Amino acid sequence: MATQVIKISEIGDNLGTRKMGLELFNTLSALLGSGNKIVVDFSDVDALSHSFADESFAKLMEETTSLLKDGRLKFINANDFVKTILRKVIQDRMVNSRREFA
Amino acid sequence: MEIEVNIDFGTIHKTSQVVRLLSPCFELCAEDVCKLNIHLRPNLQYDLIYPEYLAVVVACYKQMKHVGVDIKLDIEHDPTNARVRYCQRLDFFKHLEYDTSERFTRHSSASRFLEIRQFSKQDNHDVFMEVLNIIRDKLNPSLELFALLVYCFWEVIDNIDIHSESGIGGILCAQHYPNAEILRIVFVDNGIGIAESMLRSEIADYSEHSELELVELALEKGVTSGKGMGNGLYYTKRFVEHNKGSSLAVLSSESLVHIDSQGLSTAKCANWKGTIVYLKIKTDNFVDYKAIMEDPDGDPNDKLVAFIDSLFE
Repeated sequence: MATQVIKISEIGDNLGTRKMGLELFNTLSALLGSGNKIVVDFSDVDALSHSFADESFAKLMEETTSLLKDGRLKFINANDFVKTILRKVIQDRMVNSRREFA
Repeated sequence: MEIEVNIDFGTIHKTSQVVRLLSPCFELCAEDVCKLNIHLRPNLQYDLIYPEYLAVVVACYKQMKHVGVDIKLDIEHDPTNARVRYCQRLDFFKHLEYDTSERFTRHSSASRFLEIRQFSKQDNHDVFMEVLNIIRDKLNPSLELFALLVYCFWEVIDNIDIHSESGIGGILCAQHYPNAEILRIVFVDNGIGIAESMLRSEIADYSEHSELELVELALEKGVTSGKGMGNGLYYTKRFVEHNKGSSLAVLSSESLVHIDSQGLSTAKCANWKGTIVYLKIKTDNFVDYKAIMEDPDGDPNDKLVAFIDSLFE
């Protein structure tokens, strides 16, 4: 299994629109679908919006939960704010879609 | 059809006043005529012109141009007057395509304000990065405040991008008042408005709500037209509620919702085609983003939280 590192700061250091999130979702989804392990590096990223995080990471979780349970996605170098937003957004979407974590 | 609109900035002290004056412009069609008279004469009572007033006029002007209205514009102004120079510096005249002589030297805006800017889906990222650079470099906010500002502003821009269907894109303008430690920023669009966007939802039926109720609902958790989770404006509202001295006003179609640390108030107002989001941010307060992001009614799912936490290294 190949490991792909996605450096988020190459997209931007403050990440915003749903459209930008969708582009990242497509990239991550394709990599996971090809059997890769993904490491998402948030170094040099100050902040991100709810919309961006929802469209990219939360939807990825929702649509590929089974693939992600074996540790094929990791977040590194996220500051506290980014961590807070990611936790919040992923939780909101998963609860909304009633995913079960047995 | 021909109408005449007179805006005397010497009598204006609220954005809703400007909206009331401009509201008839949205009834006009191609080849109708609008005589738009703007007065910038000095006035001791209301000497300050806030950027949101100017942005609203610019948005209306561009919307009328967009639909093909014949605009006959006259701006009464004395180029030596300070408030006129301020309007010139914010590119008010330029956006209205009105020739005027500038009797001052333009210095960098980066210390205090962002000129009136029009943005679209194509360049909203670039325009917004300019705003963030001003905030980061000149206001020197705490990391927590900066991150929250990024978060809130992106939500508003994304709403314009995704929901508004605005023919002119968006209009943005910002001003920092260092003595008061206040940042004023306004986002204006001429789209379908919040209520109409929600009524078009394919996932929920909001038809039993009034327009004012829908604008208020749009600030609640999880209320969406279906294109998102509906939480962006909710957390923006919580940020303002937790940051004393700040406020958020959302004016959409004929409804106005205002929020500050004292609570929420609503009012009916004159029709604005689209939405105006105005934020006044106190920039010297400590903000606890974890408290803001906390869900007061939330019931944490331990397994889910453990799963999400397992993603971080």
